[in-house]
Amino acid sequence: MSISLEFPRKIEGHVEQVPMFLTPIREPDLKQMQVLARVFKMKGDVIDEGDLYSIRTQDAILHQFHASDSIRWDSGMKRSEHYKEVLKITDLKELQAIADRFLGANKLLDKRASFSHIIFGKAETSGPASDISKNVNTCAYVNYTYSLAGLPLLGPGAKIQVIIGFDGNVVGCYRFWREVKEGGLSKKVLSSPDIQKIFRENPAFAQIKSGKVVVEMARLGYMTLPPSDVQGALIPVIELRGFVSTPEIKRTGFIRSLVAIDYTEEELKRYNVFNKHFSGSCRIM
Amino acid sequence: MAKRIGIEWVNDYHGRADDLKNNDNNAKGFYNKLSGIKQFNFGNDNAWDTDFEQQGVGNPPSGGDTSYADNVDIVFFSGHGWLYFGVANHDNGDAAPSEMALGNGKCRYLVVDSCEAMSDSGTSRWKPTFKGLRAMFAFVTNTSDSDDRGEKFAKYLNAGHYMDDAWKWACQETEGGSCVWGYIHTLSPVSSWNDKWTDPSPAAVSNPTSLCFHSGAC
Repeated sequence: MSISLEFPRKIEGHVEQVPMFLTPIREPDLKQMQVLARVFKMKGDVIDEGDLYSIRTQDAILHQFHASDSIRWDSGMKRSEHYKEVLKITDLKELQAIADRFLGANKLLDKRASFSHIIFGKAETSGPASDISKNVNTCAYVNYTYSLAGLPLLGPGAKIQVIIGFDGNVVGCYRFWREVKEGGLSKKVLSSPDIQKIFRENPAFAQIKSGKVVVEMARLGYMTLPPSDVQGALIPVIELRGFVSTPEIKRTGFIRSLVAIDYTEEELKRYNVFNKHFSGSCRIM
Repeated sequence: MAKRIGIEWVNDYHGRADDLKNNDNNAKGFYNKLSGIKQFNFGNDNAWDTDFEQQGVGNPPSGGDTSYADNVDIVFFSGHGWLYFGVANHDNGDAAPSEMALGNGKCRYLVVDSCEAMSDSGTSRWKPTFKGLRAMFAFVTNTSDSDDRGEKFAKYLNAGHYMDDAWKWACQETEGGSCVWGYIHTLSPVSSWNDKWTDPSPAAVSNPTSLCFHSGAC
């Protein structure tokens, strides 16, 4: 067997102890949905779709998730040929300022969240249609991430995004979040050598006989689940990003999460994350 | 007429790449949730690259899409990207865009839930695949090994949303904000920009003269 493993020298944010944060179970909140409807000027019946409330109009939708304090508003469903339209604002600071103002005006700002990055929405066309631009930025996704106790919240369940359309108007946003309370408990974080050992022994790599596994980035943070899932606690994990290269397949990327603390069987159930995402003794998702 | 659904997924790569964990649940969630006729569900060693490939195209030229991927309205792949399979003894274990010609049979929509299928450029890479296909859904960047993106996508499709909105929302709910989703649709002679799963079966766009690729942050 000739497989090499490259692991970064440093795990970003690695500390010896981390506080645990509980995420209490939330009840569906129809009143809150009605407040949101006024904020986003959405008129229509509230529909309970099982995992979320929604209001749907001809060109917009409002979602409020039952299992978390997450919302989404999307008015991008005006099916204009907006792929012909070029984003007028390209200055990153100006885009961020628009997003900040929008979040402030709609009471979606949160001191635990901070600006992270902007990704431009792109439209690329191919073919002879000469009236259409070849490759243009059509909108901007202004992204915010959450952190607690100095550590980033990872996964899909804690983030904010504001979408700015080609004309500089906000056309959508979401805030995925679940309220937390300190569990009054801190946990010892596994040491870097222990983390590397667990990663090295991960059964996912056991069958690779030749090639290399490269972890390009490792960072400590709290795992958050999708907004439609109940989660009992924010689980400290090491997020690992990298790639695998074998003689058969040159490169396959991976994003994996490794539970960064020791846990008891009782915690397995109470924290309600492991059952679905980290089964039993398997620490890596 | 009822629409037909096919899925293929791979967790076991037999050393060709690292094994994955959730692609069975991801694809089956899509299969079981989406309204339509469940036509095929092939996983691990039963998922073959040839099921997506056109007979006589590429090297090796094996291909059997007329019985599988091009014999359903929507086909969903979940595994390593672009479309890497766990076994390579039927062709070469990789369904490349240049070997796939979908839509000259029944297929109208292709979902590739894997890493980087639309990295670099969407339209030039996938243009050979559009032989009647109306739209394709994938990722520009790496993705995580999600177990429920397929189910979420199906839920929004069933609710009658535009298909690209359904994909965007499912991706938002299952990835961090640095991940980028991708979507290609035909632009002319017929635009599939407004397609919904709940609409009646649309016609093939046999020779699209232009395609449009969109991407955005999850």
